[in-house]
Amino acid sequence: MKDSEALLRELEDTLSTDRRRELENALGQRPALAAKRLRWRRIAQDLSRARNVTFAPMFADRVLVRIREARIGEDSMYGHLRWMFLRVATGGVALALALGAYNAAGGPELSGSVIETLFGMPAPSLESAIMLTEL
Amino acid sequence: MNYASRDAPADEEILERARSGEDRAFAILVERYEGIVAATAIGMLGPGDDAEDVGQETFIRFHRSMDRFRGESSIATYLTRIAINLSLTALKRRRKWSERFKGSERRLEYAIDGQNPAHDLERDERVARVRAAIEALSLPHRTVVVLRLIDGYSTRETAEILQVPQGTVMSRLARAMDQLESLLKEMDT
Repeated sequence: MKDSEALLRELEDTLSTDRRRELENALGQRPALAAKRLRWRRIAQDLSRARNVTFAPMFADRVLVRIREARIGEDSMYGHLRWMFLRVATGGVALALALGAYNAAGGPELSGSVIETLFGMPAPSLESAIMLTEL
Repeated sequence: MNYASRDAPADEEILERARSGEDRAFAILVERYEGIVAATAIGMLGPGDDAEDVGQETFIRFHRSMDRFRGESSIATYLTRIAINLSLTALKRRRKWSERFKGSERRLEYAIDGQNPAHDLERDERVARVRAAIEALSLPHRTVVVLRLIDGYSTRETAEILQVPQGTVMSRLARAMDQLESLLKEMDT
């Protein structure tokens, strides 16, 4: 195990007893390593103090406000789309029914199936096929 | 408003209430985990509006996804992962911005921000210096330092959050500690 890893494991308190003994021996023999251990401990200590932070007061309230705003936005968009769809769909169905009734009752004279009559579609004829090819 | 009660119920119970649409229950979770999210966001970005935005967005995303949260990891780990990802995005945005407006980069030093009032000024100054030094680290090194030494996750948990091997966490941390040492030395001179 490298020295730096041993120092970090020691900081984390996850060194085995044997490894700890090895590290203690190394620290006794090498003052540079002991000094490094001291500096790293100090940095780790300062960093652990940086843990005690919070956001500005009323943070939870600010989060809730944003969640509610998003919810209102989603609700209003859903409602708007639903309103639009209902009107467009209803209008479309009514128009189709009216045109179908017109075609069936007194519209242009068409000969063909019921579907063709309802939708006002002329029955395909040789003449119309020729006209289409000339287009 | 303080949402936390004295008879603190378990996370699972609060989560269930929050899932059923009780905003007050979600607010308790926010208060319970604000500290860990703040430590992550402020550790990554420094104190300020960016960190607050990341903090809020972390909880908003958690709120959106809590129906899918099955508890494979702890809530703290889950939130930290979101906070780290959002912080990295914010840092990329900040870098793009500072590249566009060269000369307006954030300075490495900042005053003690009053978020952690303490009587020991010398200690506060040391914490501020070490935080400033963190900002000079590369993102992979900074992330490991924040998770391991500020948030207090173990090497194994840090590896899980970042989805890298434990050996990578160790080597990045060792490198980061060496860099922090040099940076702090430079600041002293």
